[in-house]
Amino acid sequence: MEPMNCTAHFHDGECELWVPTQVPGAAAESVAKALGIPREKIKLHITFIGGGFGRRLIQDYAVEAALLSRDAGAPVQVVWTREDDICHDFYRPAAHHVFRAGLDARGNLIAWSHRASSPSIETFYNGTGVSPQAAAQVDSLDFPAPFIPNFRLEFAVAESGMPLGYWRSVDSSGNQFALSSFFDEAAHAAGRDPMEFLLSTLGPARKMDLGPNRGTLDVARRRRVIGLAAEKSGWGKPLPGGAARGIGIGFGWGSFVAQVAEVSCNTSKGTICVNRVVCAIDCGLAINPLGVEAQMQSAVNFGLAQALKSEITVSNGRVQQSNFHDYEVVRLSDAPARIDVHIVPSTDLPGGCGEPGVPPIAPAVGNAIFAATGKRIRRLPIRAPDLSSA
Amino acid sequence: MATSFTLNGKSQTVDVSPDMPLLWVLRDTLNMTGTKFGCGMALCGACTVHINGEATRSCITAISSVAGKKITTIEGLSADGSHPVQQAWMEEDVPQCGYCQSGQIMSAVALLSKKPNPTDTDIDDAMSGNICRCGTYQRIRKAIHRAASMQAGKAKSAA
Repeated sequence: MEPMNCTAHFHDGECELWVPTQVPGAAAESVAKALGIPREKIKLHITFIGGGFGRRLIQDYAVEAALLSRDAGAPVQVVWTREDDICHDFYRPAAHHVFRAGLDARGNLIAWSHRASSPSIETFYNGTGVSPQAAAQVDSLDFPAPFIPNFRLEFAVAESGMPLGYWRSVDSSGNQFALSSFFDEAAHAAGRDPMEFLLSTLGPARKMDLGPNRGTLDVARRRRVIGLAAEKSGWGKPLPGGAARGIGIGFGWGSFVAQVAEVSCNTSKGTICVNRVVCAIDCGLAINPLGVEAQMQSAVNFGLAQALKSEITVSNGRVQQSNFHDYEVVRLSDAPARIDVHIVPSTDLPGGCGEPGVPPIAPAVGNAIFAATGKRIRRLPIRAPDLSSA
Repeated sequence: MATSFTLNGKSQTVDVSPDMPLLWVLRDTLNMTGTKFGCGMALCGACTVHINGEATRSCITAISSVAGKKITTIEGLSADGSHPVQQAWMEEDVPQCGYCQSGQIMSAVALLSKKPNPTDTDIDDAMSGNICRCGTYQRIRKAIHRAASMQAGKAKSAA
């Protein structure tokens, strides 16, 4: 919520900065480079950050304040308006995914093809000379690649001309929506319960060797969060009033998350109500369980904005949204009445908790909408017509 | 132009342009930075203060319109964070980044002054003008209920 801002004082070949940044070292480097002074001539005061979420990895606003201070010959405080922020941001890359799955006669998943294209954050910052792996916004190491005998992943960089940035959970936010939604679709095509299909595809709890320099994959930890979310959400038991459940998963940053969303839809009005979310996380040793709970609740609300509300559109080279009336985020009245967080007791190495709670919620909601209405959600944010069109 | 009003119980006069928003008078003229800028259009609630007890968005409130009125900011709730709503906020560990929280607390205090025992629907209605990008909403709900019972307990012991 805090707008981009920085206070800078350039004097006598030195620059002092007061800046909310996620990367103080990089901010100092950027400012030093812009001013043409040595790095050690920068004195940086790191203020509290009023929300970072990846945006404050980019140091443009610090450079702006420093250059203005130099040119003004005075201390300068730069505070962006909300319009500056929304119209001139670093945006998530828009992506398009095409999936195909193969099932055997018993409805087991035996083939998976994923073709994706989007602009690349890596090439935006580091040029087209980066490796194909770095340029790709997708990777295949976790799920479902190791569990399926026939797997193909293709990616092509699509240039969009948009400034690109990192947004909480980065590539996973979009990728996991596509992947978990299609996985759910494959389960229904196989005539199987999505939860059972997920556990069956993972197979028994075991450690899998992923090959040279790729480490091992602990299936038990993945199964445990899925099972815990199923148990605590009452998966399989009917819900009143036409509500339905959907599951989404996300594995990354050293943590494992499964979320079950309970959703009610009014297809004639095009409204979606997320009544409750059950979130299971294995983040290894939970050093501050209340903090883990806070991050999971936060991530669900953050991801729900992506799923249900926030949209950036561009016309004639200009972003059409400007403030919270047309770039909407989740408000208290939209937030689920309950987000129950269950932490797997563990003494494994601590994993991240800021990001892995975001990716599962959009597919959990989309899959719940399918269970409630039979309408498959294939784009974000979910719009009212998506509930009523076939 | 000089404008006089009561700020956190004390009389205050500022000499600024009459259309200057109260938010910037508080922050830039009076150095009271507890009230935050979020949108400038009364869309997010970060700048919420009380004017004659009503939760009001200070970013669109011209200073001339508050002449003679009573203004309370987050700094005026208590000297030491002991207001029941502040206490409840701490006990429920509500804030994450914290930026929106003074606005959230001011909206919650205004709600509880009108409805000492609010329902979830009352909370939805009163608090939906306050955006929290960190998504602390579930704990905000709990903290408001907790503050309501703390205040009820206080009223009971005083009676």
